[in-house]
Amino acid sequence: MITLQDVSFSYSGSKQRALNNIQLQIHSGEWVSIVGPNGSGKSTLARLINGLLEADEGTIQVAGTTLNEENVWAIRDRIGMVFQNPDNQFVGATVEDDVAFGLENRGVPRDEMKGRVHKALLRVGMWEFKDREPARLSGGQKQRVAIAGIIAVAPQIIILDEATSMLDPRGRKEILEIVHHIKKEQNLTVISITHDIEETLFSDRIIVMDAGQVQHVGTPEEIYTLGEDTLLRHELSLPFVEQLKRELKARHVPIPESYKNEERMAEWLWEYVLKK
Amino acid sequence: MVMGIRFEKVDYIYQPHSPFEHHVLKDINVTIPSKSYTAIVGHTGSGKSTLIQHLNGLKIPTHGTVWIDDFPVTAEGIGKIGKALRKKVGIVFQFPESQLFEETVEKDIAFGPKNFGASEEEALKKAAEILPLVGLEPPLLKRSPFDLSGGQMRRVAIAGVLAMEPEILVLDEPTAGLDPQGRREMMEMFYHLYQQKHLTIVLVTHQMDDVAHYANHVIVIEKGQIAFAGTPQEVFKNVDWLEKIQLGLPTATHFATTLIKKGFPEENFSLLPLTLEALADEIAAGYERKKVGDADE
Repeated sequence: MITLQDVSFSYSGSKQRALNNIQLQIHSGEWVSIVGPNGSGKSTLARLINGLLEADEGTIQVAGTTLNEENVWAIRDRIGMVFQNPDNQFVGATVEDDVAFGLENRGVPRDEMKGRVHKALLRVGMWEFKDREPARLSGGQKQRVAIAGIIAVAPQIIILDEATSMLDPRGRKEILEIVHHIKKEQNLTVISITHDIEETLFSDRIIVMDAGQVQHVGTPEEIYTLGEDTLLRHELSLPFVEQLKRELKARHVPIPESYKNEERMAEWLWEYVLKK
Repeated sequence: MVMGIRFEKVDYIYQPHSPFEHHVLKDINVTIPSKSYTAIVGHTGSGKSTLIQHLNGLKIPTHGTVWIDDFPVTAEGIGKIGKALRKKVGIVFQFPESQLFEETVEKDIAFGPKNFGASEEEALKKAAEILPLVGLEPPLLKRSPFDLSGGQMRRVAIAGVLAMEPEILVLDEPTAGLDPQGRREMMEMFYHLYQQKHLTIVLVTHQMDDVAHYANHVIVIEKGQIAFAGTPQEVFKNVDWLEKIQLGLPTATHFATTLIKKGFPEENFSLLPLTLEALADEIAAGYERKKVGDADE
């Protein structure tokens, strides 16, 4: 779906490369999380993929087409992007208008547009708010409206650029679950850029970036068990279950070898450690 | 003199007798003990922000009285005590970095003390003293606050509040928008200040893990009313209720409830664990009991 070959990029005036010789493939229908500290290059990578920035070297292919100046608009049509600050992305006076904006821009006939807006808002649970002013919604509701605006246009790829970092835990969970469902229904490719290792649970693969380079690529299980030193070096925290394993080991309690999510870990502990 | 913050029959009605009338706070009776680390939790729109704005008279009750030690805040306003009250209570609002405005970090921090009558020299000296408390280095004093990173800017804004030497520090979601490491560092910084300066801290938060780690008193607010007040242990014991109102649990407490669902008898927990360390201790104790049981057979 997306292929990056030998991609490098520097911001003007900076001697250091923001991205250095990146090789990467993201498959259709995959959920890939890109994690790493501030300045690691993870947001730059997303901006290159949807043509907001242009690579200095190398090629980027999206759905078989090599990105260039002429086709950047066509490719951007296939990619929906949700940004960090929900307040910076609204244009409509009402929720409904805002979701319709992308469709109006693409010249979708009015009747069809109404139907698509209705469907998109129902999908994110915001239809009853259709006449409200976007500015007056909570952070989580705003991000849901932003997602509705994207799914109305039916892109193939959705990029979440720290889209949940300003939300409370409930809003965060809601957004991730909504994207998870939409992804399954529409076979979307999801690229999620995040600081937070706990947010990578739905991913098929995790890419750890640092200093403009891909440092590790693997399944959540492979990445979570890289060990604390490696994760901390990239300013990532250990997932809760891994923290618990470390504490239990220090108390001479047996722990499972492989990675387990909370549910499985609780099962394992009950079965092997606690049940009499 | 009775110390602490007391809300007595406080109502706050937004734009009364207008089509926009909204009863934001209803019959609030609650105490925030002096020198406590009190967490205020509740959903967006529950009234928590309105509640804390009563603490330095930014909002005044429609009915009732808020006592800040022996200062009364009533519908009559705060009149002459306003200045003393604002020195006593420092509020760090959400995204406080958006309120920075001076040319240099030191001028920004010195702005408050100067406003309260300190000389230029005294105020700048104060700024230099405060800076390390928020984990920043002296060379930053002469820099423009707008050249700093987001996290550093927030620390400068917090230093500006601390420079007033408040006795009560009110924090409205102080870690919103920071990455996990920045969140942890900032919460540790506040806890250090709490211990070192013997402040009263009032923390508005959605992070139940922070409540479990740092607070010794919790107030749950729901739809403008006090739904619960007590220690973290007392609050988080109400697992089903907290799930029902969707406030959630600390991660360790949630894990403990999963263990209970898998079969671990609830009564085997000596205390419902709120933190990772407490959870690991309880599991280790359970493992010891099993080993003893196995040996007996």
